[in-house]
Amino acid sequence: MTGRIIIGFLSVLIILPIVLIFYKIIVAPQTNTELLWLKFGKNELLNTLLLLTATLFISLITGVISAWLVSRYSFYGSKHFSWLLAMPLAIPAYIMAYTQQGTYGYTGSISTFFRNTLGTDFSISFMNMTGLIIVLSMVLYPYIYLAARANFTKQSVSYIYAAQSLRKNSLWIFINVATPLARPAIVAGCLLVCMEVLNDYGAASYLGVKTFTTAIFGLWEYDLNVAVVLSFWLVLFVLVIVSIENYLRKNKRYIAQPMSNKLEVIELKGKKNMFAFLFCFTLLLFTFFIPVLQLLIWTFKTWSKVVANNFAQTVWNSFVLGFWATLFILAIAMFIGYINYTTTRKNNLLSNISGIGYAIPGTVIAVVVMLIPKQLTDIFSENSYIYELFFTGSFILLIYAYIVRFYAVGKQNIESGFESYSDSLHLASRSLGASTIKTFFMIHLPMLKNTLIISAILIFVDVIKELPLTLILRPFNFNTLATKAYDYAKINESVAEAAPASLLIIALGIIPVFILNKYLSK
Amino acid sequence: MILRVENISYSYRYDDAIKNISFEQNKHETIAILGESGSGKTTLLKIIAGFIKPHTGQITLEDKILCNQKTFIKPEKRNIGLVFQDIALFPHLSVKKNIAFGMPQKNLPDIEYYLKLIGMEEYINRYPHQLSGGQQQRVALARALAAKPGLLLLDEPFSSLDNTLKIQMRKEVKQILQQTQIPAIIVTHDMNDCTDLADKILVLKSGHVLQFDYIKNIYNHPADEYTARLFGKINMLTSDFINKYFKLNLNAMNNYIVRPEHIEITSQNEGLKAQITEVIFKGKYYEITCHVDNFELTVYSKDEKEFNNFIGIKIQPDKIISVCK
Repeated sequence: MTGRIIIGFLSVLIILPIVLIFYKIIVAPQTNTELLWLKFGKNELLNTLLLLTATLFISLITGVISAWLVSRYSFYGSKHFSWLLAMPLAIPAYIMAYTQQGTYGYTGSISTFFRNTLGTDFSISFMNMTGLIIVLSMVLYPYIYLAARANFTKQSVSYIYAAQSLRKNSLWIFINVATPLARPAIVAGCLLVCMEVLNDYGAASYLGVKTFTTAIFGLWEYDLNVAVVLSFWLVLFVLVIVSIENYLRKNKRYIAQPMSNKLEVIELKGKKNMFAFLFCFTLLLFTFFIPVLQLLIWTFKTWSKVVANNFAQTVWNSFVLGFWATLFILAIAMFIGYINYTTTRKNNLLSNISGIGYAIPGTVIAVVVMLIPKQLTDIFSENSYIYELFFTGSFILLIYAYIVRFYAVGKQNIESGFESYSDSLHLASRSLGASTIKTFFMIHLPMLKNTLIISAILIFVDVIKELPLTLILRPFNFNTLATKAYDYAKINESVAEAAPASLLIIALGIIPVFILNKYLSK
Repeated sequence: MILRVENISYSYRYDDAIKNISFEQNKHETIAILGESGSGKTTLLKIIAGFIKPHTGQITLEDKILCNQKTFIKPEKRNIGLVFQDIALFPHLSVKKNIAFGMPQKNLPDIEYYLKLIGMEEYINRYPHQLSGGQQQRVALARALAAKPGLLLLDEPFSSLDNTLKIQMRKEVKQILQQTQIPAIIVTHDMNDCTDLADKILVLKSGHVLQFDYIKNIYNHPADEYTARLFGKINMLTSDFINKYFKLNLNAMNNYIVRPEHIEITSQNEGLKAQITEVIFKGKYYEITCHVDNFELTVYSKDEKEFNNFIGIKIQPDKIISVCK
């Protein structure tokens, strides 16, 4: 009973920011409508919709075609492309944004090279909507690629053979059989892309495109209440996406196909081989190799200068934040997971909802978390700013916001960890005289060791990559790798100096992509 | 008496799992709980072990109340050992550590005693994944016994083993239970587990006890048709049929059962004349289906019989079992 009360308390704590949004909108609305319309108008809304549609379209085409090529055909380098194509996922959108601009923009490396060596003017500006669409598509297409690839490789061979026996060619089969069969997986990938587009602040802000999220970010310093109103609408939108995703996941089993007969890959020859290779290679060249190479070159150029400017402290700050957030998230997720596992009522509504934070943009969580000290002040000590003074600029709110945002990662992994082995192990230990606590330490903790390591890596890297939330809630003059890289690029307008921090973030980001890749290839 | 289960009931959200179950177990006795899946046998086992709290009733082990409306002793305090259907050896612990897990004093000679008991002394440092299915099952049994339980529960212990291994394991488990003198309850859906290991059977169906008795008694006097069928094929006869052909005077209120092995085959002239309609070779015997008028009967024969031929059949009146309709 005590356990369930603690679960309830912890779950409420995790979903508090979302509850607070609804409270502020429905129970105690205080809106400065003038300011709202000044900062958020038709442009922001249309931009967001255009951004969503176009990014989705490009990611969909790129992701599905590349997934089909590597899962159905064998061509030069296809085995390596299979995992390499997921790599752009390791590059946060904001890093991709200033890297692209720094490479192809008027003062970028390529343009300078053309101007100085060939004497011609060649530059592509990414500082516009098209640039943002390209940048986001470049880093988000792997979501659709991974989902589609996992489905294509598991599709039953019978459907394809049936179509072939009816004299249909590969293109016809791809469009009319394989893609419709993979639809639930592809749609789930698309929804993830949508969530990430709505989550993005850094890229849009750097490239100067006004969106829903940048509007919220721009508003919080003026009037938190107005920022909350916008957050409310964004959260509603995200909740609709999450519900669709949930619905699709629940119904997936009806559409799932038997895995017994896997499709044999077809070996491509001649022009077809060349085309498949060039498609995948070009895609990777622009989305991963060139950006990383550019960042490497910049890093060599600026390394000594950046290192002299407190780089070690920045790395340390990121690691400390990542460490504490990961520790708290895993401790809470383990506690809730174990109590749910040991009690017969396995599903607890509150603890189910607590995973929602992952879908809510970091900017929104930061804005709402900022409200908490103000609300506490209003409730407990009128006319005093004691809570605001205590919380603002301290790490408490920042770590708390990370917990709200990334708790889902720990929760999902640990829940599936508990489900991965038989209940009998727990019962056997209890029947052999071990208490629930001893059983946890003697049996479950060793059994969940790998799950915990993987979850820790995923959460840690997510925390290190997180930009808008850290920008809003960080204490004064406190920098993490993400904020430092962004500050160099945006405020100091020195993209090259942002490179070392960016490269380190990408290097860390590659680890979870590897894990995801391995997990989805099983 | 070692274990007393009185009026135990438990229901899941929508239906009763078990209802008003009562039975008693004597010292050194092995009981088999027999039933098909969904009959509530595993629920009953989990209640005895303490993993589920019953809604009503009381369980007493060696005069100590394990659970009733006021008391509930946690599983780890019950001194009841458990062997699982899926073996449930801790994969991250060696054989030695698995066996030592529940031992009050974890000394090597004691661990070696149990390894010797299961004939696996040389496997002490192996891990579960390095053992065969039968070896894993033996270690699971040793682990449960090493905790010196007052009662041992075995949940479908042989269901994951192949047939040859199953027969061998039954023999070994029986020897070990006799050697250690620990009373045991085996949950199973296989009658062979019951006949090879148990003294008594508790027959469960849809959460109710149909019969609880010594195996011989259940064979000779089954409570109903379901229980009678647990031992193999039966012939269901009406009182009209028996009274007409065997010149008896049986009550029409009951049903009557005759096991095929209790029907004697004689020459045509001696017994009741029956025409053979099917002959199936079963290895040690032939299963013969024959008809007396329109009434179908199954009999067993050591010799092969010709299809469509006539045989004589005889039934001893004391082999006719009366069951409720």
